Amino acid sequence: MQALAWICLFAPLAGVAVLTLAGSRISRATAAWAGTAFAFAGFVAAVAEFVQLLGEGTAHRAHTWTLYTWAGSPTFKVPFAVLVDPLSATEMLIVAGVGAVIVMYSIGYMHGDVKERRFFVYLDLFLFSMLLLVMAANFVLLLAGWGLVGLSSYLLIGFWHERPEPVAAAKKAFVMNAIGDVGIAIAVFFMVRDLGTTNFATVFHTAPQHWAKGSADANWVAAALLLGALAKSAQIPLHTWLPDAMEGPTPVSALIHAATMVTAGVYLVARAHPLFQNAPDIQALVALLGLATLLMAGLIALVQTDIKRIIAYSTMSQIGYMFTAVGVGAYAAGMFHLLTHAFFKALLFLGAGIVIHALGGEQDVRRMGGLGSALPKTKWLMWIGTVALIGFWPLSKDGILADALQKGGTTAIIVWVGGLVGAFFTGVYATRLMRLTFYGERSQYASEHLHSGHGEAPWVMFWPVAVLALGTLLAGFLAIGFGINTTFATWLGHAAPAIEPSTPRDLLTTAIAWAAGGAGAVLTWRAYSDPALLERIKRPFHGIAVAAEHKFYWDEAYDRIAYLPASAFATGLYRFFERWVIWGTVDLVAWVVRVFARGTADAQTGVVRQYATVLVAGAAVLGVYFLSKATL
Amino acid sequence: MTTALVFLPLAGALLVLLLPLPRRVTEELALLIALAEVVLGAVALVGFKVGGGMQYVQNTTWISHFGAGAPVRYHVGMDGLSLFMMLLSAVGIAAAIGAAIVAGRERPRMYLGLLLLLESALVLLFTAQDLVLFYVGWEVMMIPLYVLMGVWGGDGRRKATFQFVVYTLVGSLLMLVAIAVLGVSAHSFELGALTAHPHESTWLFLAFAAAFCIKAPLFPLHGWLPSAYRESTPEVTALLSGVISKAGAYGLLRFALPLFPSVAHDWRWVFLSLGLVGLLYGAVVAFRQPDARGVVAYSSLSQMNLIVIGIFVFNQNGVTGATLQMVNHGVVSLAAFLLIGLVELRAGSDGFRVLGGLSNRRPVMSTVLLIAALWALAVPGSSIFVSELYILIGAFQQQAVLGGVAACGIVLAAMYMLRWYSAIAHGGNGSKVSDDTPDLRVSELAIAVPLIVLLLAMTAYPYGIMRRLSDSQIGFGVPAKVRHL
Amino acid sequence: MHVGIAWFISVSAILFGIGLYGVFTRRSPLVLLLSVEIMLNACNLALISFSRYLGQQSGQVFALVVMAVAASEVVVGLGLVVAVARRKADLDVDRMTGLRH
Repeated sequence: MQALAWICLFAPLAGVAVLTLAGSRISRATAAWAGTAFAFAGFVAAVAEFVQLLGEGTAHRAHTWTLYTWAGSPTFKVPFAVLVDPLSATEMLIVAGVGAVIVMYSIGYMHGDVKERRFFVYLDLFLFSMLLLVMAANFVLLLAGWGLVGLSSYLLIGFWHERPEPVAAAKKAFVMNAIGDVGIAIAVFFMVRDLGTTNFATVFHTAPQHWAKGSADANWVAAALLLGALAKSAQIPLHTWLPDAMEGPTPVSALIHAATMVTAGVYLVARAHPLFQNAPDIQALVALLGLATLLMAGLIALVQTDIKRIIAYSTMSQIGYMFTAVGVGAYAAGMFHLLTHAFFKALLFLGAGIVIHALGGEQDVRRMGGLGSALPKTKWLMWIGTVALIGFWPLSKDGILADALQKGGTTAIIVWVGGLVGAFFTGVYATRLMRLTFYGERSQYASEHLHSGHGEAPWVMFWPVAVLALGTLLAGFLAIGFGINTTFATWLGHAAPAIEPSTPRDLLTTAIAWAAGGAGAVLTWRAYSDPALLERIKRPFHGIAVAAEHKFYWDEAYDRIAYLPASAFATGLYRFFERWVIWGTVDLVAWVVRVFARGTADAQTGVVRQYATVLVAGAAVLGVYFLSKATL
Repeated sequence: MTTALVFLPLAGALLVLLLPLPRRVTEELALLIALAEVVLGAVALVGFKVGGGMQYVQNTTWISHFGAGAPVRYHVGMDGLSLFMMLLSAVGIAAAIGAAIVAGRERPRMYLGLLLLLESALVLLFTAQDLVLFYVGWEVMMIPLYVLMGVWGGDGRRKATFQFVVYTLVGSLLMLVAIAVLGVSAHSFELGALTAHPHESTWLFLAFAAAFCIKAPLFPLHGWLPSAYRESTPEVTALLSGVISKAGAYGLLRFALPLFPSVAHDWRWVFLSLGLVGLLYGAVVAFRQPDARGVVAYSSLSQMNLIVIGIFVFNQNGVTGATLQMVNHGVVSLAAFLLIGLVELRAGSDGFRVLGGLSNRRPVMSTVLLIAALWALAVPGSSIFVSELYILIGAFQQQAVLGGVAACGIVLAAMYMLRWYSAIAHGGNGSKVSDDTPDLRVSELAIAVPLIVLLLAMTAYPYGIMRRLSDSQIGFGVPAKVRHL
Repeated sequence: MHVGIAWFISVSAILFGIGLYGVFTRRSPLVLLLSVEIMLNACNLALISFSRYLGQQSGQVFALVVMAVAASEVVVGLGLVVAVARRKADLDVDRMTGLRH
């Protein structure tokens, strides 16, 4: 139903307006609960819309609803229109649902912050932007949502802007995302120029006719979209902003930098899959970049010591899996991993948030340890997330790999092998996180702060985490069966196609993936129980560990290659070209006028009788002239 | 209607200048007149018919014989473009008068009276349909500006004013010559009559373009801009950047292109290249500025060059984007410079070295500055985003590389505007900022909020402006041979 | 004896010469103004004479305009002289060059 879609979209925006206008006239607690209420209103509408959609025949599950013409020139108009189909409905449920739960968690997490009201304004703004992104029915609105989520992300990363680090991280995130925005904008340019429209349905239908498969234009469009997806989803080479984004409050990391916004790139590729299938080379690039990211991020996650950064690199790695999925054409599998990841990664972040909260803000895992007895409920909830992350249940990661194997071809096989290696890394870093945080000897720091801290979370923080855990467990049932046969793939239908399954290969893949993840987990557990063993394992990997600790020097490289030269160039341009050439031109013109003026000014002596003399002389000359011409 | 819009502020200016009223009353009178002008403009907007072409026309003889027999007519009227430029002037002057009152400028009668005089000239030049009448508005505009910059500005104002006036006068004189030649040869100064028989003279076109491109300014003719924007009072800078720069772009659209369509089309690559260089150059230089005004000044340069690109791509998307961008950027730079003025009132300076931390405990100021910054960087979804997108689409249609390279301006804009906002608002308190530095007061909010509301309204429904703008076909100067684009 | 147009023009020329001589030789602004008045009236005389001689009224109209202008000019001029005299005792037009800078 149309009204439901609009309610879902605009409820959070109404929250922004109400909370902004109310300002400090309402109490912090009221603002927090109001912000949550608006988020839940959106979720309720999304659920109702979903139920409505379920009731319709599979062939009719795509609705485009237009509110008004938002922008337009005589030749190109942009309607404010939403598309509600299984793909966007899935995203709506994830965004509004996980979003509402995390907003609720924030009531507890942000309690007592001076800018508590503002935080909920930003969260609601984010929800609106993200819903706009996933509901948009054309690329221009999608780009608007794309940019607005970047904006909300900027605001929330830099929320504690008294310190320089969050501000720098926020700027970095925004600028990198702006690079992605340019990519999508360029894709829009192509569409308007060649197709005259950016409406999804028309574009996907007519694109193959205008751009031959694998032609330069087809590749450009897909590559431009890919640029946007890479920036938003923190994939190589535009990934460096995501770890820094952990400077934001933890609910933000859970909502934006794990569950929803960073997976928008996957949604984009799935949504625009006709354009990517029209450019096979670029689609292979999607898979390979995803694979590179998942391996690299997995390696870096092994050596991080900040609990949030470990989870951040894990996020990057898991999104790598999703990219490989959509890169090999397993769109439904990619979307399913997106769904389960939204649950379990938000769960892990919020659990980490409880830990950080309990320790009065400490994020270094080396200063934790032995917290299991103090935070038992949190520990068990996080175990659910960890099991999901390693890939035992729900079966989303091995679904991707099974589809890759099934797809065949060089790229897909590389993905399959690489993905299994990645599964091993996942087992290691996920177990290491749990082991260091909750088990072993409690550190001195932890014992000192635990009692002065908040202890196990208040109910308003605990229940959201429990709901996410439940969601993680239940989501697994959607993936019973493989490939196209899962409930989830059937639901998505044509919006995000799946791959035909073959049960033996799927079972094989799952078995190997479980074995890889399990091996990583067991190995880690044993190694951390036995320091000597740990040392023995670590020694041969010293070099790569150092590189991983420095995040493989991407930041340093970007500084040296791009930022510093550009900065120096800008300074030089200003100091020399602007000063001497541009301002010089003005000075020259002014100087010429001044010199000329000075010359004429000297004639103005100020002596009246001189003026009179000149005047009379002039009159005399004129008189003589006219008299000589006169015919008397 | 149009005549009332032109002469209401003129009458107001005379009243304010001549009546020896006390400060308070003078201020209220000036503000009242400026607001009346806004209301009158809004009435014109409501009564404006989409698809009605030139409206509110008044056309009578002013000087029956001039020069070699060409009459000068008092011919004013408004199509979509004129309408919104008029509204921008009205809003801009009202906001500037409000800001001047808040700042408590010395000699208020003179200051406010000159602002109203400026408004009259602006409305005249934006509505004139006769070349001589337009030129009158164009030059009358310079008189109050000259005084406003030269008397009230900062320490280096004399040099800045001199440079500004001399530099722009050189351009205007070229245009005057061109107008005279054109009028005498065609025996008419009326725009409609002249555009009916387009002229082919390259020199005349360049003379017109010189005047407009200096005022806009187009790279590399922007040398006057930094010092003028730094040394004027914030109100005057806001008007320079918000409204007066648009007079340059307006002149291109209304006069230079329709009068010489094929010459302009032949020369388009010169303007497109300069515009592209200026777009990126302004953005890069803005990133290295040490003060708040400098950043917005060079960002203004960058944006105006983008508008020039939109004008010279000769297609509907580009021109629609360019005209919408004129409105958008007008409101944004008004807001940005007036807010810088409010920051300067508090800190006594706009240098980044002494600023910082204005967001802490000042929620209203933080929000308002933030919105201005976000719109200035054309955050996707905003009305500026729409106009930039259309310009870039137009550029891409003209030449893919042009559109693609120009799109990089988006990233640069994000870089310099975020630096601007962070330097003012983020971090700890700067040396000229303390915990006691006040948040925005109600009177200051009365200036900022209407501008912010305008931005939000334009964002909600940019098509409301675009459909009226795209009606002003006459100003688009799309020559017949490229009209099909 | 018939008093022809030449007589009137001669008187007018003589008056004009007297005025011009005054402007050139005197330094007092008051006398300067007086001299200018004499020149203006010389012109008036010529205008009226020609008007009468040619039988057209436009000359008289011009003369009236000149008178009005002359009157205004005296008002402004005397006002300036008084203002200058108040500021400094020295009333010498050759030294009144303050507006040059």
